Amino acid sequence: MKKILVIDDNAEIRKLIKVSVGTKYIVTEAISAVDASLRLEDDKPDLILLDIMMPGVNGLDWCKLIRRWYEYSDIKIILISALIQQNEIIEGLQAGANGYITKPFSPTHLLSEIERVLNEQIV
Amino acid sequence: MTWKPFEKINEHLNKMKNLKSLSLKTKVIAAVLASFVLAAILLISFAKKNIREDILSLSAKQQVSTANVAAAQLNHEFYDRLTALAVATQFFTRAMLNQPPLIQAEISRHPVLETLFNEGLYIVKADGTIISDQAREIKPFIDQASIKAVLSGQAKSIVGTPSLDQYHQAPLFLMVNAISDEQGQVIAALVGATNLAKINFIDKVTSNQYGENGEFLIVDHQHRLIVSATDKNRVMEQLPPLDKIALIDEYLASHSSSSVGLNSKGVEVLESSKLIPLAGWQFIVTLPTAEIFAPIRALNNARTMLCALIAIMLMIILSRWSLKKLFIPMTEAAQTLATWSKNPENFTQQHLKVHHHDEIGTLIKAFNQLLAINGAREAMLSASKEEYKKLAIVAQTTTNSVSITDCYGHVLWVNPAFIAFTGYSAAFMLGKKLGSFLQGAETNPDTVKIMHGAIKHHKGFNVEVVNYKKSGEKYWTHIIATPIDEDNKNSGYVSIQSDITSQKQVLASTEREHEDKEALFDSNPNPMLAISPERQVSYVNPAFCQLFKVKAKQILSIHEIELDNFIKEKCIHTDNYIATSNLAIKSDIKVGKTIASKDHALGFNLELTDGKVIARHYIDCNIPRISRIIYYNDITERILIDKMKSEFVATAAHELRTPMTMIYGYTELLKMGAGNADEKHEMLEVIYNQSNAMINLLNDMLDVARIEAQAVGLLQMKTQQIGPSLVTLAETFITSDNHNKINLHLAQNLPEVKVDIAKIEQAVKNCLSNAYKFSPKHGPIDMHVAEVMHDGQRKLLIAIEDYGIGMTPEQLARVFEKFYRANPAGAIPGTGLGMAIIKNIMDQHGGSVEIESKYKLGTKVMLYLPVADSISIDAVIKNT
Repeated sequence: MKKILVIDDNAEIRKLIKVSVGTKYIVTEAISAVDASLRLEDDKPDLILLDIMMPGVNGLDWCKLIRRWYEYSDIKIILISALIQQNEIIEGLQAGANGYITKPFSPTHLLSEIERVLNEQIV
Repeated sequence: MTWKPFEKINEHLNKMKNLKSLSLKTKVIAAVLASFVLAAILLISFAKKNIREDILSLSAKQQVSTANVAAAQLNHEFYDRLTALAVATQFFTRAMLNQPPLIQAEISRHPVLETLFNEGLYIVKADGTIISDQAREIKPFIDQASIKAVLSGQAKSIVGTPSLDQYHQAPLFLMVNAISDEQGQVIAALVGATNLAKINFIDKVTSNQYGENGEFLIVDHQHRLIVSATDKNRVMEQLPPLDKIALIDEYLASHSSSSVGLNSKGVEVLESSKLIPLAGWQFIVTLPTAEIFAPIRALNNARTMLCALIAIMLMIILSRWSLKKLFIPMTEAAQTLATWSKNPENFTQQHLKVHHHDEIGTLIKAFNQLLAINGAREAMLSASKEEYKKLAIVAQTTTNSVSITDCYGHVLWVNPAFIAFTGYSAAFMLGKKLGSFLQGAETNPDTVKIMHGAIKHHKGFNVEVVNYKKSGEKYWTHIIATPIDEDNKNSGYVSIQSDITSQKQVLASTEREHEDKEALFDSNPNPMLAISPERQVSYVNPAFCQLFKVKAKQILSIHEIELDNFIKEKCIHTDNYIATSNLAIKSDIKVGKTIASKDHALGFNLELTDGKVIARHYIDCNIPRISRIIYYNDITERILIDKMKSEFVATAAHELRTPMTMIYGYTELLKMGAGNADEKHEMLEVIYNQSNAMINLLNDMLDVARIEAQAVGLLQMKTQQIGPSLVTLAETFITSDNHNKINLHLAQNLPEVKVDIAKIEQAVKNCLSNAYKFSPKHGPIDMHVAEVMHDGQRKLLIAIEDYGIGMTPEQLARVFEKFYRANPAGAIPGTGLGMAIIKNIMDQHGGSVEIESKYKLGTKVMLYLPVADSISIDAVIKNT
């Protein structure tokens, strides 16, 4: 089973995601970007579900940071955010994310998006 | 028959008798000539004196240096010879002295010694025996003194006195050096003799000529004897004794000198001397002053004089010629003027020719200007003659009353219309002041004052005033009095009066109407102004002045362009400013109608530098005196509220997304049949809680929106005691677990406050709810109500204190931000609007909120409300 790391400051959202995808993937949780950075070293996931609006380092900045580290460059990242404006989505993808899901989201859509991103070939 | 040139000169001479009638040319030449000759004479005499001194000093310097060089060279020669002698003495020993052939052989071994002394080298033994080389005949020397001095040990070496040696038949001088034995005892003298009559080393210098007549001398000053001279005949010549010739005494007395004086032959000479130290002789250079001053004498000769004469002649001719050329334009001009004056009609049409742009050219130009001015004046004169004729006709025939007065207002002349209109005769009016008989009871004294003031300061005036005819009939007249300005002095007035009685009557009625309307506009709270058909500001209302902080008179009658510039100055962004002055006033408006501009409804927004935003509207109209009305709306408040609203909506929408995500996600999962029975129940629980959170959020949002939109005036304010309400609130406040205890501490004699009690209850409720949420279960909550002094005012304080999780300083700083939650990830539900609502309520009551919080120790919220009678008490304190 592939591993997914969920990074969100809201426990309820983390739980919802775990319930939604927990049957198909191994889900680990992080409550902040700093927390996630520490977890990455122990247990490298295949995909990260990343909230943008978090206290401290925000998701977008963290995404850009991760993309600069060679050893993590193959990790897929999907941003999950309440920011739904076109320019906000474009900014998110430019930060190096492979996908972008807006809140509120459908668990089915989340699953299919995760699948799509994981099967995406690196060109 | 007389010679012509002579005749001419004679003529000139006759003219010169009367200096004033001489031509300018002659005067200039004479002046130049005189100054030239004077300068030449001065120059020559000055030069002579100075050059003489300079040449003398220069020559003296030259002489001295020559003497120095020659003396030094001769001294060197003496040194060489004395050294040679001293060296040579070492060759001779006591043993050799008794064997003359040995000595002769020794002397012959050193031919150099022979060349140094042209009369030979000798050894004189102590007994007087003289030994020399074989070739020479042995003769005694007349200068025994020098030899003896050496032999006796008085001197080691010596240069002897020159003397005419009878034995040798020649003038000789000796150089003597002692020969000593090994014990240092003098055993003989080595003598080098120099014959002055033969070619010798001194001659090398003295045989040269100095200048043409100058000469060199070497003098033994001790014996006043000439040792050597350029003139060989003077060798051994005895100089005159002491005190005979001052010049000789002088140079013999010093080591180095230079002076002018008469020599022994009575010729004035410049002489310089220098001592030859080894010989003790003087080297003298002498030159007759006549030779030195030869160049100066040359100045006086005939050739120089001739040159000067030729130069003077040339100068006269040149200056005559150039002056003649220079004066051509002047003489031409004079001739032209003479011709013109015979024919004055053409005088003004022409002007004089300007040849060159020098002083004369300027003079002629100035003359031309004078001619032009004169011409123009004549033209004006003839034109004004015509004008006067016409004016006289106008004054006679006009229906307006025209009068001419002196500068004090006394009548000098009136026209027939004046007489006909007023009914007074010309004879009656002459010499009187018009006001004295025309003014009456209803004449405005202020206007009279204006007229008097103007006359006093010799200024014109333009007034409307009530006057009376002879018949007593009242009439309104418009007087325009213009000062007659002659030589910058007011010499009287021309006044034109027109009857405006009927106009005044019409005006009086319209003015009343106008005043009514203006009062209407003045009371309009919206700033507005009117633009005249000439595009000038014709009206501005007080609201405009207040908004732009300007006085009405500063704006009135300025052009619309200036108005735009004025408004632009008050705006922040002027790049997109649309100037109304650039917008043409609509031309097809029917009389009395208006047309609103295209953007009238919205207006054009201006951001002012003081932070206000105003909308500008304009309406074009076709009303007499008004073509456009511009008015402004202060929309600062509206813009601010709009901005706040959109920000609020954006944030609120975002906040709603989190509970929505939860509800949407779990519903979908349930729909798909995910999870077992327990999990399903849990999901439903989450959905229920999140829906609840959404309801709370919506309620709070509505509260915030309502409170923010609500004006203070809409609150149901009542002066009351709030203690009882707070007691009820504390008792009935129910929380989900109902475990916490509220300790209410009400102070005695609480003052009344003016509040909307429902709002205050809401604020307190929000505080209590926060205190519960952030306290550990069963934690007490304290509520204190008391009167305090806060910010120098009497206030009612409601303080709610919990002992819960508290806040960090960073969290505390953001506590009043909408949707800010200190701990959003935690399990404590909330909307982040509670504190914002409390603050809004307190603001509307003129009160304030303060929060003290310590992380992990608890939070204290203090609500301050102003006491109802605090203002009146303040007033009492002030009065006493």
